[in-house]
Amino acid sequence: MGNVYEEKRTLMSNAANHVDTHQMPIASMAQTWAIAYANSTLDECLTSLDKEIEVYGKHLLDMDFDSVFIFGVNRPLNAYKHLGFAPYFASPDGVTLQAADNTAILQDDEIERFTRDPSAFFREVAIARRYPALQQDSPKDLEAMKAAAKDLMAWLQAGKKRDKALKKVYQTPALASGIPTSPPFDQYLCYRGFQKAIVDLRRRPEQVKEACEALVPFFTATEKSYPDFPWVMNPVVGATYLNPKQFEEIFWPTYKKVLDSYIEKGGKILVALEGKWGKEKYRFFNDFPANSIICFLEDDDPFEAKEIIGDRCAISYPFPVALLKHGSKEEVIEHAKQAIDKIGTTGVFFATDKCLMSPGDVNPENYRALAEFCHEYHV
Amino acid sequence: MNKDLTPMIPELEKLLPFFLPKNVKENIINMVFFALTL
Repeated sequence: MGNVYEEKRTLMSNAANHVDTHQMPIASMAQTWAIAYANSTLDECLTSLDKEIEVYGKHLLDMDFDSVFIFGVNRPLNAYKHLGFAPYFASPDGVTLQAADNTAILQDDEIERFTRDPSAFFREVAIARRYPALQQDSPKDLEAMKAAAKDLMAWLQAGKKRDKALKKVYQTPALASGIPTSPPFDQYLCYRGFQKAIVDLRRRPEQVKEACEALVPFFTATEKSYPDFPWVMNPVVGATYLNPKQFEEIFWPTYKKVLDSYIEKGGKILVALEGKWGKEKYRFFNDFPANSIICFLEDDDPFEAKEIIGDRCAISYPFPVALLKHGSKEEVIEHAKQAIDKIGTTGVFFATDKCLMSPGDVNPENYRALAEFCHEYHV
Repeated sequence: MNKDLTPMIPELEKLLPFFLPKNVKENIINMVFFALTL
């Protein structure tokens, strides 16, 4: 028997490199759903890294996936506990991770100052504004910051232990490692808040471009080189809301600089195309060298995407979560068979059309059956 | 409320291993600050 972990790594790597895999590789898209599957809670996961790994790994012991999209709690929730405000928090179900509404930190009259020096703006203005515990008098403010910093650093370093467990215990590689990257415009959207950022695109497009330019250094490559696998994680939230002209003129130039910085050092980027982009926007990925971009699709048509960018970029087939939740096992298998027969097994793999975040997002029996079928059905 | 956190930096650097070069410590602290804006 070969090394299962290495075989799976090769399978996913071949998919990215357009080597025919003769079967459909499949990635687990279980995020916090994995916690519900293990009958646990986010709070329990936060008690120790070992516990978190055990909880997230449970579904990988029961279902045979070739890789996992995200493994572990992907926000520093313990750090927020010291700061009096949590930009991300557990829902009442104890499992689903939610983003808070009021996270905007950049006001109308601050864009110029922010653009001049984002780091100084964070340090001198924005961070204390967001976190009430840092507004306290000395030494309480410093004690809160020290405690948060310790937990943040522990969270940043947790990846190595998770990767070790994935290799030794669960024999399933994570698709991405290291610190994720982001399009500068997505971060602008986060700092301004969605409503204001969308208005800015019309009222002050030049200022938006300049602010995005100032954010580029925060998201460019930091390592000397990057491996062929795993890939660099890059979720993209904002593109789906832009029209093609805004995308080309405002979003793309700084985003391309970020992606180029990784590709120049050998990296491959896992781009999660959140929402529906349309071919007018995702066709821009043809600008990059072949086999350097892996597109995770949500609402875009995978057959059209395969035709437009499939020769240069690997794509995920966005298997419908609704079918995995409500369909019968036979319907799931039939859908999978038809999809594989139509789209082939070169430069493509199965994921789902949404990340699995909440209890009940999919029927586990259907999910297990889908993974099994992928390994049995060779073409 | 706005408040400049720059004076905290020397204290935060003390949390890091003493042997790390100054620029590495600065990078880590910058990363911590940046992570709190995400």
